[in-house]
Amino acid sequence: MVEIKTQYYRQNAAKAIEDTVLQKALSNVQNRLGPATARMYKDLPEGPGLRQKAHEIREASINHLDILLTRLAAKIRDRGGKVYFAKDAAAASAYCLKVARANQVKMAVKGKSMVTEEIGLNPILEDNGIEVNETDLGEYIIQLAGETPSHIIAPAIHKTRKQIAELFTRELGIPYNEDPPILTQAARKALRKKFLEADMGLSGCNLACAQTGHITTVSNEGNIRMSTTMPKIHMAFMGMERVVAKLADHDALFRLLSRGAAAQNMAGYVSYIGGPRTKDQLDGPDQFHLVIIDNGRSQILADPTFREALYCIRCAACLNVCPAYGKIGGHAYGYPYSGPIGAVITPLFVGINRAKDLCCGEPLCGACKQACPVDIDLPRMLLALRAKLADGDPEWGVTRANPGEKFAFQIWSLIIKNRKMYDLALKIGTLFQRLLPQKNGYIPAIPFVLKGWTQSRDIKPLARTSFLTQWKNRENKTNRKNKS
Amino acid sequence: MTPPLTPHLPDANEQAFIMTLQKALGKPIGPALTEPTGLFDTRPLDHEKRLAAYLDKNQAEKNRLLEEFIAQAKLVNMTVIPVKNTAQAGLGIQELIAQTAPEWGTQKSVTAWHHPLIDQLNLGERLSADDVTLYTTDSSAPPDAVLRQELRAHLIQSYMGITSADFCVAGSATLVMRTRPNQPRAVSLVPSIHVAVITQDQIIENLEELYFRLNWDPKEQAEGLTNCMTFISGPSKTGDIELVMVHGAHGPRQLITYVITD
Amino acid sequence: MEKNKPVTLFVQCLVDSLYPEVGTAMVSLFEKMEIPFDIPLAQTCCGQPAFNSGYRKEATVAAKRFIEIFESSHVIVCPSGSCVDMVKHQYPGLFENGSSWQKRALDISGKIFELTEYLVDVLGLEDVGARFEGKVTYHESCHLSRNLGIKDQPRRLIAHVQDCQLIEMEHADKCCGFGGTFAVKFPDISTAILEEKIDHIIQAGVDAVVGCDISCLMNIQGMLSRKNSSIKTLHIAQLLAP
Repeated sequence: MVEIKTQYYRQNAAKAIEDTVLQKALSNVQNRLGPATARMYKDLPEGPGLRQKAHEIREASINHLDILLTRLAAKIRDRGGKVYFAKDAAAASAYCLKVARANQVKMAVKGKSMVTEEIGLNPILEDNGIEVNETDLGEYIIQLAGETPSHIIAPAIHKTRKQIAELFTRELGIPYNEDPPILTQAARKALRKKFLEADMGLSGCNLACAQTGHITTVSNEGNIRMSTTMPKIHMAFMGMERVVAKLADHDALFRLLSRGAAAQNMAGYVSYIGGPRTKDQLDGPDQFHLVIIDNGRSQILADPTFREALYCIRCAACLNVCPAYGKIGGHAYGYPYSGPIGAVITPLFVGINRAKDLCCGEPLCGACKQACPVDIDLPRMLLALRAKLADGDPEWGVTRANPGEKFAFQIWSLIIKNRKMYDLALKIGTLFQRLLPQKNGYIPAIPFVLKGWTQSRDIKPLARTSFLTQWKNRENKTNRKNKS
Repeated sequence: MTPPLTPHLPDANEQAFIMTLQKALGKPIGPALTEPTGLFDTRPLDHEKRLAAYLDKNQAEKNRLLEEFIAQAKLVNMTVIPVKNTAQAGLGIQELIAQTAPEWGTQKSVTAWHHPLIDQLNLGERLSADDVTLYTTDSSAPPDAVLRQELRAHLIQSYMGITSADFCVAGSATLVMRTRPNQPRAVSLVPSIHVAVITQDQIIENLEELYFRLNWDPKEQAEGLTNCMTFISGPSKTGDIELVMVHGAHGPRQLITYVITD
Repeated sequence: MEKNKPVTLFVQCLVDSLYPEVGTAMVSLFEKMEIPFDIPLAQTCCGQPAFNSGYRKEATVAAKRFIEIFESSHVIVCPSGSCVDMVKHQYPGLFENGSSWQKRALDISGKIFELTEYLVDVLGLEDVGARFEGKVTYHESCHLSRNLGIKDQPRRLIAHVQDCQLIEMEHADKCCGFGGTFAVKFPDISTAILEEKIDHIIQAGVDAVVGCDISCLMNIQGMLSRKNSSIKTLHIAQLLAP
């Protein structure tokens, strides 16, 4: 299991905000990809409405996941592949280790796979003497640096070319050079050796097709193709929700995925893989294993409020437009899934109380829903998570996160229920605020629960007379005038 | 109509896993899985008409698709060279080899598919005079470990891989390639330069047409996708360093497609 | 929609308690345009602060009260996109499916409008005879723009303000970082988001920033004040009022 650091959301967010290098990197990503994706949705022949069709496709897939996975597994097995259904992280990693040991695997190459981060696969293999080489350039960089990914699609986006140049000089022994093509070439050379010598290739699965019985892998670099072609064993890991029923479904979904992930028409490489090398083929792995992973997804599936979160195709379009992510970066979320989708599924995976800051710590602006290629209503689910934290929930094992806040809102509900009470509360407020400092008609410092506001902003004091009282007075005056 | 699956008894893990899903979805628990109609592809009523239209493009249509392919290929850094015939394609490749240098080492070595279209290029004859090693992926006998190892060694040495394709999707400049006995997948992957040779007839409009034909063209249905079908839309690239686009990551650094028009 | 039946105004709790001048401006505008209106004195809050923090029970108290006060109105107009979004899109979900409260909520959702939406889409007004000498920029509030789809109407109204030049800021539709209680519970993140918005406003080189949601505006104004900026903050009602 990967280390969970969701409880450090606030501290890590604050650190990220102070990191000027990171801030520049995040701005760069969001300014480039956010608007570009929106433009590309508009330019689709079907227009942005294609996203609703994609939503319906994913909805149908998830609602029949039992049928789709059964068929996918059967077809792969018919081609001589192996399929392992893993109920949790430990089971998935154990299976991988078992196969690796049975085949004397000493070294593995790996394409980028968020689910393998989630199950903490690399440390388990490494602890058992198996060298694991990340091959996606961004993952390769952070592996060399001993870090975790900060973005679902571009894992090393928080690093500058200068930092990468220093890293490569230190770890690869190459002469110092900040030029991205030179750095990429160095990685290409170093990893080519690994691809050709590896005993096992590990990959994720982008979107399987149940009808034909294939997984698909998507990349621009060619690293996943290399990892799944050259070694004699290919093991693919798949979150159980990453499947559609029909081949024709891929039309809409691949076009949207490419636009959402990298503002492209189509990713550079898409591979449909349905089994090991056949007897009459000249290349390809001797063994193909597909590991289908639950690890908490079935609980999400069982809850109609959150089932929609499983429609996600992990494109990161939501990260590229989120104002919160844009300031705090991926590490603040303390789990492989960051940004708006991370704010929803991470609490559902690790515990809603444990990750409460993730689902409360964003302004709910709705940009994510607009950017999502499958039109997932993330704000709705964030609100649902907040409701569980407010009142507790036995089904998800949530205890009330803030009894004091609950009490405050209960009082609030009594006050707003009665205009006289409300006016009284305002009156008390105006009296209290006389104790506070004032500067040019504003209050620069307010104590207790509201002090977060005045950390960086002034606040206008309560009006001496509320609008409705003014209106009431005006109406009374008019009535008196009319009467006389 | 999909052929019936080989019946197999799911293992205990799969059983438990699927039962959990059935419970979660509020479906009856058990081995019987009723497929709702329309979940997997159902043949559209006008499939024959649509297929006929796809298969019978006139010259103007074909020319438009070629133009579209060339335009889209530019966006993904793929070079497209229309040529009249296989002789011109062969000549073009010969010149390309003369003009390019291997990424590693000095010896020029090329691996080509054993494919009807590629065979017509006469590469063996052309390159025999030049100091270029040509290896053709011929597995007329079922390949044993020795033959596979031989191919692997040649591929690693080769700086250019020459293949054909099954389809070319103009809308996204995508080459679609199945894996077959004489057509290994690594030829379009391991060498630094990938050269593809296709005919203009193979260029289709978009993914919708591709999937339709894969689903409803009897010829395509009979073969299926195979165990590995690859879509290639340009040479390899990455933007992982500061989002700066670099052409040439782990796959080929260059992709040139010859389109035979006659 | 009969235009002689009075329009009922829901002023919003923040306007009522902190920015009564916005309410006054709206009243002046309606009087000038000869739009008959009434203002129920019993109104308080739409419930959004509780709702966004997850306190649905408490939000439902506010919702029921709102429905009781306003459902007999012909048309409700409110100078806040976020309140209108709350009533229109969130109220029905607070009640059980098929219940009479839900039906009442659905009924009311059909007759509540945000101010600029009402003026432009319902009344067909774009020129209200307003005048403001200077350059302004427009901040697009999240609920107004994304949830209600109101992007064009405020800009058209601003375009007809005499002597007023609208200069679009960069990323006008990006969140200002208010987010309700988020602003006080996660002040670091809220501040970071707001800093960027303020930068864009300042870069636009304007005399004032205009918006349709006082919640965003109080957030923006708060930081402009802290930075001793001379840029004014105006609610669109204030820009349009005589």
